[in-house]
Amino acid sequence: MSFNILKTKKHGQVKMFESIAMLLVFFFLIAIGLKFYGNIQINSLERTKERFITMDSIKMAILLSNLPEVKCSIQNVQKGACIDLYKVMAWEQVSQIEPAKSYYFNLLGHSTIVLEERIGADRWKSYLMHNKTFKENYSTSVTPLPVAVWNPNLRRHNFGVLYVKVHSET
Amino acid sequence: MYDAKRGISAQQFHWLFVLIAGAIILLFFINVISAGKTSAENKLSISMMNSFDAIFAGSKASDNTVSIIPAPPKTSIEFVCDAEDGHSEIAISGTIASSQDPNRIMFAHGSITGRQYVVFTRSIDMPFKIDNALFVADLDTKYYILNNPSRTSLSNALVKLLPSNITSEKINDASALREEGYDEIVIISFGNLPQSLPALKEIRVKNVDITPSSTRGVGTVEFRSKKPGATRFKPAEGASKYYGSTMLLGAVFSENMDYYECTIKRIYKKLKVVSQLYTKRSVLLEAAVRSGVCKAAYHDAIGQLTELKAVASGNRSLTPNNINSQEVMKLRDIKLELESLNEQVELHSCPLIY
Repeated sequence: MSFNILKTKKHGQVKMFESIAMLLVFFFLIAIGLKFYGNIQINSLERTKERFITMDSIKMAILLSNLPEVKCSIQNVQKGACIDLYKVMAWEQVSQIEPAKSYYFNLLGHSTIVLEERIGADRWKSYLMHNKTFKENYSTSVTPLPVAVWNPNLRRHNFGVLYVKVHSET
Repeated sequence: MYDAKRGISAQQFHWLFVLIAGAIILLFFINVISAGKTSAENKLSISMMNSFDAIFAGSKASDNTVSIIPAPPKTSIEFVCDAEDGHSEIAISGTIASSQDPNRIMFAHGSITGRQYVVFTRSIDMPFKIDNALFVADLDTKYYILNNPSRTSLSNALVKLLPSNITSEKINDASALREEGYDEIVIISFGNLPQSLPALKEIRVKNVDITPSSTRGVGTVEFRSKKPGATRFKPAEGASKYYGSTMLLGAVFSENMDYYECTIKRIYKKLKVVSQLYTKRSVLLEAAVRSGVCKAAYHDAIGQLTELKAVASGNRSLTPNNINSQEVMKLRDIKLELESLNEQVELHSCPLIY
């Protein structure tokens, strides 16, 4: 009789261990699956983030080159792909003080905007229009935009490149 | 007997265990699916919001553009601009997607639920270009222009300002108002809003009443709304001012007076920044040119631009009902003076002020 009790008890325990082992294997497989799926999602999110930063950078370059504050104009008629040098020089000074400082931070956020003007063979002059970076750990997407730089005093166009660098925390 | 009892007990425990484990697994998958659904919805709404942002940014790049944008079905786009705290937001209702831009100059009705909407731009000049104002209108809204025989030129000018895609009709009498299946109608009157209107039971009705002043391009606007089925408008929310065609159009396409004044406040904010920039540019040009006449013109322009900035800054106390009439007149005078100075420097072949 005591042998029978022992046998039944052992049989029940084996079945229980079997079920637990099955569940463990099942959860283990699910965990591997989730980890795999999670990695794919993280990669996809990083790609989307990069795409958005690039899009932001292009959007900002278009926005900036069309701002009436920098665009060339004659009697209020705006000229395409042309930057007024005196407007940029005025911007450099004005954007350091309020209310322009906070206005342009809202508009351009964490980015660096540089206008490079070609003033001679292999000679370039830089104008830093906006510079706001993160303290550490950030990536940058750069969009160069070729523009004509108009000097209204000398009545001369020079070639220039507007660099829009959008920063994002990593 | 004892064996049998132990056997049943183990089997029961086994089934209970299977049941609990099954329920946990089921709950886990329900959770995963639900999280996946929420994530997909969020992803879709954020991507939609990004598209809207790109559309608005693209439209803003140039003036006098008109774009017809198809709206996704069962989607309502909400536009908020609070004159008190300056908070502005575009959101897709019922989702987490929203876009905030404290610099955006956009006139819009509170929400757009139609199948299509129109986005158009107009330049804001004071007299130099400050920015392009964006206008967003639902194509399921009809604009009735209630003609006033004594102000026909203004109503004709307003009709010309409206983009052709917007449904508008000039009427001589309020009895001509019809529902015609639109979601909303806006009655633009010129001091001739009748006391009583057709009930129009199924539709929201708004009124913008324009009273031009004796000075060209300047006037007063009043905003009213009416409950569906009512034959009278509620009393006006108050009166505000407009200067120029862009502000006038802004009043027509604003949700209410609060929204209108909030956007006007942004125009003043931008005016402050741009006039500061043109002041500095004139200082640089004054130092660079040789002509004495031009130096004097730049000097005068600096004075006018500084005054322009002061007028725009004086608007800091702007609250609803507070767009000051004197400030609007001052803006007009400065604009005329700057136009004259610009012509003066052009005559002497000097770089233009703007």
